[in-house]
Parts: sequence; structure tokens; C-alpha cells
Amino acid sequence: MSKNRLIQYVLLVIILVTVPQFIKNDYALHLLIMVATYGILVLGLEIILGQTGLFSLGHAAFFGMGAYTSALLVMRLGVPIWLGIILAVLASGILGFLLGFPTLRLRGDYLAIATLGFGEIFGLILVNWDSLTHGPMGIPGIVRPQIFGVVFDKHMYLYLVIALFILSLAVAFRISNSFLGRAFRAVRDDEDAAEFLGIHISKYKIIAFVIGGMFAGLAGGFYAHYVTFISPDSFSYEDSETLLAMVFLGGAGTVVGPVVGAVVLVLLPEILSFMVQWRMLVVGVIMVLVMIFRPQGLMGGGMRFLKRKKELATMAEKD
Amino acid sequence: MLNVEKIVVSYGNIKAVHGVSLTVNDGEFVVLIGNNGAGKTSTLKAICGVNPPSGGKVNLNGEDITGKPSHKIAAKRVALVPEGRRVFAGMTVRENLDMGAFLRRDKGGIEKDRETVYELFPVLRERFRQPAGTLSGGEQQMLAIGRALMAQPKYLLLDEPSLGLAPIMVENIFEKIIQINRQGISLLMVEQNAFLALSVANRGYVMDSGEIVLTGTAQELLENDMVKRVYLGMDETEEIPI
Repeated sequence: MSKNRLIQYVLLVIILVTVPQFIKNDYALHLLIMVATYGILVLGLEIILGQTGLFSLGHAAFFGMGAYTSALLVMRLGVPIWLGIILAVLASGILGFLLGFPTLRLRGDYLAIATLGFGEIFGLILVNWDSLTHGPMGIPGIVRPQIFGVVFDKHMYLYLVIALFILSLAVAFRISNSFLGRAFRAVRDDEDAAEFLGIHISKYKIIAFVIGGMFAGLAGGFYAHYVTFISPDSFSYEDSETLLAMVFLGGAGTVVGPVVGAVVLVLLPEILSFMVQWRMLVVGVIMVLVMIFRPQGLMGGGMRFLKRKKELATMAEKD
Repeated sequence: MLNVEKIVVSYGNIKAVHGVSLTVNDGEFVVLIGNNGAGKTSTLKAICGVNPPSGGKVNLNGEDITGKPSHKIAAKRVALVPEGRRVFAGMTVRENLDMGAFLRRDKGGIEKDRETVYELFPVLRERFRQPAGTLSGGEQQMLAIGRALMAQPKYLLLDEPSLGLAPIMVENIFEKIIQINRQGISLLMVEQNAFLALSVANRGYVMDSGEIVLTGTAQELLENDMVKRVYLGMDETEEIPI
């Protein structure tokens, strides 16, 4: 790391530590916490969709798995919260394996539909396994974390989630620049060609789902102990869809892009709240415009990926 | 030695290859020629595990590799330059080359081989930071070959390297393919351009309707009446019987 880079990072950390101190508004703090939570979530989807090109419409299930795992372990078995969150990460990773394994042979649209079904099944289990999950009523009164006997307030939550987010971002960058990231992108660009080069594509697809799931599990574990009430509604198909929109809006395959997408799509509806019933329309129009004029996403990069898909499609037609 | 014994390849109920046998000796340059739909590509794909054969055997230096997944066959230093090049369009030239060395962990060796590829195809060095999707067809073909070489193959399988390229580019690439063979890498090339293929190879097989119909040294095939007539189009008074 160059000296300049180091200074940049130190500055960033100082800003992230000091700025929240000046924010006194609970609502603003809540929004920032949600931005960071969604940031972690989309980093996971970025690995699955952006890097590896696996079209997943069930990402909310991993989020829900994390939230429910930690909430239930803490509430029912008295597991310490920190351990609960770690186990949430593992549980979502295992769920990633369970999704990745049977869908290995599926590509493109077929995979999208399978993951959609997977998300629906997960939602139905949450609703119907009453004895475990409390069904549609959800789980209220989830314990808040404490540190030295002090129960977390909004500022502490914000610091915690910022720390988790920075950790996730660092891991995501590390993965993207490693042989794992290269294997993911090779699978995304051309599965067959990747296989000829000795890349065991099935293995890397599963790894992508596991890692992506783990990111979502971390976000879910945090989320459960932050909002203190979870129900199946919080992890529905709509949430998967929003996450997907964040990835494409920001720029699939760029790591930073999806985070930008998360910032925009969490904050925009709030900024526009003065428009009341018109705001979601405006959000929709903005998304359409971005996709028309910047199909590669706000942070670029994804263009090549989309173009490549198009090329492949025309090649397939020729065959 | 790469030895293919009576392999059968079927797609559903349709047999594309029925009982093809061929051999590539160490250091040899072998071509497989034939018309469109003769089963050349299917044979190649069966060897490298993309479409495992439904019958017959593929032996690599005495080891049975029939039906193994392609990533395992790649690990045995059999590299494929697929039809239509199939470079990773979103990655840079240099990243594509590094992907070729995916299974290798010897950083120094990879560096050295990258230099060798750049020397063979200087245009790749000039464009090493460019996304592969922005290269011309010929350059992409060079990149696909370079990428395969990065795996340090003992056997290089080339599928239609001349497809869709300008004649001058084809000539250039074929010269490089000969150089690669001279470095001791055994080649099995599928090619529609029979004359060109036979003029560079040691030996050839002629395929038609899923079978090998003729085999011999490249010279013999070039002088063979049937080959001249059907694949080289040398006698225009006669109609092509296909």
C-alpha cells in the first residue's frame, strides 16, 4: 500500500468515527444504519451476481436466515449475541451451499427461476413453521447487544455496522483480487472456456453462493438485534428484487458499484418523501433512465458483462 | 501419446461420431479435416471432456481419461483452443493469459511463459491492458492460443483456428502454430480449410458423416484424388458428391 493510500484510509476512518458524533437526529442515524446494512447485503449479492454472474432472485432468504438464526439462538437458547451473529453467518453460508448444490447445472433464466422458488420456499417455511419461528407474527423483543453493561444506542449501532461494513468491503475486495475473484469472473464470462482452463466451475459456483450467503447472514444477524423485531415480511421477494436493483443500478461486477446502488436506493425514497405518493414513481423513473443511459450502472464496468451476454446470445443463434 | 479408440458421440438420439479412432504421437502435428457437420468438433469435444463419448476410449500416455470432466483433463496438460475463440471479453488481455495459468502456482514460471507468449504474439504485449472484447478477431484468436499455452500444455487441441479470419491473418496464425509445434507441443487441429491444414501438418485424418474415411501423411492426402476432388476442389468438372 502506498503512503498516499494509507493516508486516504486513515482519513476515511477518522471521518467515519467523528461524523456520526455530530448527527443527533435519530431518523438520520437510522437511515445511515440501514445504508450500511444494505451495503453488506449487496456485497454478498455482488459476489454471486456481479462477479460470478449467477442470477439470484432469492438473496433475501440468506438475509432472513441470518436474522432468524441469531434471533432464535439468542432468544430460545440464551446464546450470547456475538456468538449468535457468528452462527448466523455460518448458517447462511450453509444455506448458500444448499441452494448452490442442486442448481449447479442451471444457467441464466433457469437459475433465476430456481432461486426465486428457493426464496419463496424459505419465506413459506418462516410463515408456517409456527412452533419455531412464530409464523407471520414474527419475533418481537429481540435482545439488544450490550457492551460493559451499556445497552446499545443508535450511535453505537452505527459504529458497529460501519465496522462490519468496512470488514465486509475489505473481504470483498480481497476476494475480487484473488484467484477466487478471477475464477468467478471466468465462470461469469464463459463457463465452458473456464472449464477448459482447468477451473472446476461447479466448485466455484457453490463457493460464490456460500460466500454471498455469509455476507447476507452477517447483515441479517446485525439487523435482527438492531430492529429487535423480525417477521417473514422483512425477507420477501420484494427485498430480493430491491437488492438486485441496487447491484445493477450501481454497476454489477465492480464491488463498489452495488454499494453506491444501496446508498441511492435506501436514501432516495427518503429524500423524496416530501412528494408523498409520487416518490416511488420518481424512483422508478430514475431507475429506468439510468438503465437506458448508463446500462453499465452508475459506477460502470458492468457494461462489458452485459455486452458479453449479448454477444454470447448472438453466437448461440448463429450455432 | 494421445490415443482415441473407436469413440462414439451422440446428442440425444443423433449420433454425431461413430467409432472414430486416431492417434497423436509426441511432437506430432495432426489435422482432422472434413466438411461442415462431419463430426470433427464433436470428436475434439469428446477428447477434452466437454461432451463425454458414449462409447470408446480416450487414452493419454496409457492413462484412461474417457469421460473425465474437462477441468481434470486440463490438469493433465491437454489444452483446448475452442472454436470461436471464447476469450473472456470482460477481462484484459493480461488477465486472460493469467487465467490460462489458473492451475499453476509457480509465479516465476508463469511470468516467463507470459513473456514467451508476448514474443510469439507481440500485438498482445501492446494491448495487454485492453479488454479482450475490444480486440479484432485475429487478435482474439492469438489470445486464445496464448491463453492455452499459459497452461504449459503437452497436447494442444485447436478447433477451427482460421474461422472467420482474413486470409493474411490466417497465414500469420498458422505460422505461429507451426512454431508452437516446433517447441515440442503435440497438436491436434480441426480445420475446414483442408489445403492450408495439410500444408502445415505431419499427418491427417479425413472425416465424413461421423467416420474417418481416409488417413495418411499430409503429403499423401494432398496427392489423394478423393481429397483433391472433394476437399481441395481441384477438379471443377466433376460435381461434389455430397
